[in-house]
Amino acid sequence: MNQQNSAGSQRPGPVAEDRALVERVRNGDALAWRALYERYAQPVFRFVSALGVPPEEREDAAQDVFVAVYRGLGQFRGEAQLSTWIYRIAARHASHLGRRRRMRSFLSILPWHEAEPEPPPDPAERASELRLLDRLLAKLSPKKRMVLVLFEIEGLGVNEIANVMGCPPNTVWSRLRHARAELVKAARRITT
Amino acid sequence: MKWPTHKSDDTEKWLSETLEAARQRTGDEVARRRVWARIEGLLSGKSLPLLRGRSLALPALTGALVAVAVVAVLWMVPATRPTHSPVVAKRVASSVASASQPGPVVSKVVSQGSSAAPVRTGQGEKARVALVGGAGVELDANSVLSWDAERRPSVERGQARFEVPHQSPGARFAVSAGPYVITVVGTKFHVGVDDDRVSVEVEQGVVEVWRGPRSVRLVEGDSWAGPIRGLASPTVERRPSLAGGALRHSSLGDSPALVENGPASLELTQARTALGEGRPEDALAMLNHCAKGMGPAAENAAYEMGRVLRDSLQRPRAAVTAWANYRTRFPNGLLRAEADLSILETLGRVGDKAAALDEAESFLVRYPNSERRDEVAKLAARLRGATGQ
Repeated sequence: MNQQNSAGSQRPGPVAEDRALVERVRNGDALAWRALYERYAQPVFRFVSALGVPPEEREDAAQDVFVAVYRGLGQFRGEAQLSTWIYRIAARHASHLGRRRRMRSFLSILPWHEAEPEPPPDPAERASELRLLDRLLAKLSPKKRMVLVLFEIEGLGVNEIANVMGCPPNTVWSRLRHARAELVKAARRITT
Repeated sequence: MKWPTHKSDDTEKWLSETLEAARQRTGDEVARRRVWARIEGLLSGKSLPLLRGRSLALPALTGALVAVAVVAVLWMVPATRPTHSPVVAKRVASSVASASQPGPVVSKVVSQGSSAAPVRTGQGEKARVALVGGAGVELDANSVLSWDAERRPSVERGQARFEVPHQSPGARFAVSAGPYVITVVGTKFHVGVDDDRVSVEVEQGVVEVWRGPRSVRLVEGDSWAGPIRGLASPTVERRPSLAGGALRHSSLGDSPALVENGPASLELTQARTALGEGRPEDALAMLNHCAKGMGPAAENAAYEMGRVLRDSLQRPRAAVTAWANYRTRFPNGLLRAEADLSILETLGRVGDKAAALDEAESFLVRYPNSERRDEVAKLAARLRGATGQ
């Protein structure tokens, strides 16, 4: 993983270790697969949470991501870092879930559709500040939110984010700048 | 680049601290362990080459199709309702008390999500196994249940009684037994496998037994048996009723055997491939041709035309017509209820409330015991309010 934007949270290990893990998993080493999961489970959970996947869907989302990782390891060419590749899978899946939620939300306002009950809060995330941050992040567009989360929370560098999102680095900078401005604006509206 | 930079500003200071807290968010350790157990169960015994080449990276159009399908399902199905996926098992019920009632003495209760290893029962032993999609299976003594390469439950030996809740529109639940694949939408049935033959007995609903391109359809009260080796020449016996319990191997007469679907089955497969490749017009033409044939493949094609028209070609009215044609041609078809629900759902989506209300009321009359009854009844009540009836 590109550590140029280093954050304080736990980060997956060096690139060489990742490559060795991938090779061992490809050779059928179950312990290596477990180690890979242990290394990336926390970032994946944190990432999908920050992208707005609700608590009741996070386990399924993480499972889908890791099953996709396992299936795809045979085709992983190592051109990108393993972490970038996993973030890309997780980002795509979180986006898919987000679209589904938005459509469900849209349908729930139709007169003949029964509204869904509010999901229960995640007991693991009682901190009101984090919940407030999630609400602020939800005000950003999905692309801006993803850039901000990858940079500010996951600690990826701009080039790596560009790789995850499939866009030029300048676009990442632009989205990041706008996302920050919008986040501050939304925060001021709430805190003042 | 460090941000927020103006930490003297209360808002940016708060943002800085909260983002740092978000970076340190470790999540729920128990949740991560639970997910690992599910992944391990799903992937145990599988080597990478078997899984190679599939990922979440679907082409954009396919993604859109899936999204539309998900929307369709979400619209009609409660959000918590499990859906059957042959590859990815979601959470499975911890209890399978509903899998078989009244229940005999059961010494094992197994969840597929916790272990994909074969489930074996010994002498005098029975087991209940929770499957994806809310289904359950009860294994009799001296039986073995495993999962095949496509992650379908597979009866290797002995007797098994399956109870499958009604599947989401378009979804099928499949069980393999020797060279046969048994597909259902929602039903209760028994599968027996001994040294030289596979037998199926239908307690409720409709099932199809497939071997390659050939198939036979069984309805409530039917029993069927086919050889494991050599060419399939199975027979079907129709009896007025069934008692619960183990499968009985009664003498089988010369009733209908598997129907050759050959070219039609192949065409159906090609149509699905075309749809997956983003060629819905081609898929529709193939389905239309296939639907003119006979047998289950023709019936499936007639139903799937509606889905392609609605979900891929955005022609909901034409889809309703296609499903209406299906109902005319296959009034008691396996997918009849699915066609009824699809029409109801589609009419609702296009805002034809009066026609949707007619469909809802017809559904309630036709399927008084459907597990979707409450859902459709609520919808009918809303539609009555909306139409002033």
